[in-house]
Amino acid sequence: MINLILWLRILKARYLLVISFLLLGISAHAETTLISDANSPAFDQNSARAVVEKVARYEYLLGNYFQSLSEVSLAEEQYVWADDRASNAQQLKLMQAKLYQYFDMESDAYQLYRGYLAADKTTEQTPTEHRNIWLKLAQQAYLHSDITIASKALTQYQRSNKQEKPDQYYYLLGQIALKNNAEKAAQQALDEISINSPLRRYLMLNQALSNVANGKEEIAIRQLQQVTLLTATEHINDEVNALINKAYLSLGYLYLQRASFEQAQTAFRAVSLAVPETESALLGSGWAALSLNEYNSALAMFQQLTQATKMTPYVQEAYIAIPYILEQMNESNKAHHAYLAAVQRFDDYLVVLSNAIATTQHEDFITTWLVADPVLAADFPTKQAIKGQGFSLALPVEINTYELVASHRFQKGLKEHRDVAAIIAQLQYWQSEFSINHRALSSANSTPDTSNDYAQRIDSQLSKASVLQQSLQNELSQQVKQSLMMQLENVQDYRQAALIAIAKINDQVFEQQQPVVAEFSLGDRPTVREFNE
Amino acid sequence: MQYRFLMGYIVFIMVCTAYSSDAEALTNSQQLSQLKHDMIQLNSDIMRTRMNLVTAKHQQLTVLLQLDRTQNFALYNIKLRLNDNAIVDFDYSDREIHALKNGGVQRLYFGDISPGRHQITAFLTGTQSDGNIYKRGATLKLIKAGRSKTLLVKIIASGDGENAQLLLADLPL
Repeated sequence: MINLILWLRILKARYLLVISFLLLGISAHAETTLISDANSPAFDQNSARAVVEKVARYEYLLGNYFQSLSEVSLAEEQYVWADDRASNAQQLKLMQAKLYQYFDMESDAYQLYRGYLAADKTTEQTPTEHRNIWLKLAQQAYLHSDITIASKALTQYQRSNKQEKPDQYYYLLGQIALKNNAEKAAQQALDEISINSPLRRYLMLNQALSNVANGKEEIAIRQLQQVTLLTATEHINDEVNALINKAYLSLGYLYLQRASFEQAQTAFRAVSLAVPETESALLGSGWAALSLNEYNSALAMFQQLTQATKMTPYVQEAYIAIPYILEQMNESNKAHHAYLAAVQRFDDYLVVLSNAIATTQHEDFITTWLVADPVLAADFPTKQAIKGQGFSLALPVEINTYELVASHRFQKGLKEHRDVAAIIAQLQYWQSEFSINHRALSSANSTPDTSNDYAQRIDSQLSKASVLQQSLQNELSQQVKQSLMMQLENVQDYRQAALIAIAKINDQVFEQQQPVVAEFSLGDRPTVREFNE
Repeated sequence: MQYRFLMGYIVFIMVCTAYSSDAEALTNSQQLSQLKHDMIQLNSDIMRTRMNLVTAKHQQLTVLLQLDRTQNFALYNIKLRLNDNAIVDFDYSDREIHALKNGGVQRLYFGDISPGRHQITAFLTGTQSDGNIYKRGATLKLIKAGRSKTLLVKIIASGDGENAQLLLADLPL
């Protein structure tokens, strides 16, 4: 009996032991810590502040960039950094600069980067990362046409890097030099770029186009020919192909202008099919063939162009070129029909353009033509407030908008419009929030003055943003109207030319159809003196 | 008629050459930049006001959470209790974990707490690299005086990084 009781106790103990081991692996293991309301020995003031600035970093890493910037601003206000060169303060500045850069505030980013990189204290960034900051800022500023900041950033890069510099640096240097018409500096920059780098091709092409604009055609031709050359080790990709197409197109028109028609044909035929440059190349090729009296080849080129849906300037010119060629081939009837077809096509397009221009008479027409791009939820969780979703121009499909939309000025305007729209949406949200919570604000810890202050601030910002939005919309509207009017004038010119040509053909036909009444030469007529005698 | 080919050439050049913006566009850009600055300032002011609206400054309690980068523990959930009242029950996404592991600190809780003695307990749940569920807890007894208080919940690695420890500490701010 005693053994049984003992055995049961042992069994129970083992059971409890097993249960304990099981529980240890999965259950909460509470630890109690006692801390008094005093400074923890583990955290001094600076460490505590370093933790607080990381709240901004948390939002930054979640992609809540606007919130992150606001946390930085809050941290700066609340906690005065005793030593501004302290590592945590510097990290905060670096993050703030990157956020400014994200929100296209390059000038502010530049100032912060300068302060950050000028600090004596070593930071977590390596020298290479330091330099890359300047290069990235220069690139972004250049893309946003902020040449001043781009130049300053490149200067900072040059000062901080005595070693070999990457191609990107020389490319930007060369581009800025071209903008400033500094040809020698651009050439020096070009000479430093690697032979196989696509950036070399880009810069060379831009250099050539700059020389074309300045009337230096011989130099431009040599440069364009170089752009089209591939080295033995170079791989052709879409980017390189696009540059080569542009170079061939430029060459073709240069040769055409210099009456070197065969060379022009060769250049135009080298342009790929189904690329943005194809229509222009077809047009140029057609004129080159015509100049060489290759009428059928020319006709083929122009007829190919008239298959297009959009009435680009190249297509319009093709419509008028076809009957012209038929006239040269003494095919008056066919030419007449072709001119009539051209007039019909121009009339159709004029209706479309006129309707579009009529729409521009309304005050806010641009808002109906600016369509918001689809927003991916993953990309814009809380990135709004000062950087909104993109907008595109949505005109009738028949209207050619390529030149307008491709222009840098229009794209910049669209971007700024996007950001202002986001700012207005955020302000309106705050406005409604304050309006709803007005009573709570008045009775809570804030005074009525505080809530009114914020309401007034929001109203003031909303007013400024609305005025800016109107200004931006006016700017975009002007560009759209100018583009439409220019197209209208072009089409009217072509139409007029076609009508004149039709009238001339009609006159010729009329003259040919008149019967011959009498034939005599001037010598048969008696003179007055002979008559009197 | 021959001159017409120049139209294509001119259009081509217009496409290639940059069309420079005039002074008005520059002014718009400057205005936009200023507006962005104002928005950032306004947001931080609103955040501060919101905080002060929720509770008076001397009664404010902020709890931050920080994750040690070296630990291999996968955090799923954190719970906070203040004097037996549940105040936080937060599940973490991969992105939030990534942000914590890369030096971010989460503002886990902001609220009010009256002066006097209080107890705050944090419980974390997660899994170790071998898939075992892992739970840890820590309790802090504190005496709230007449200023705002910030506490830090720090999850730190122990040993080989497989185990985590909870540290609740007072931040002297």
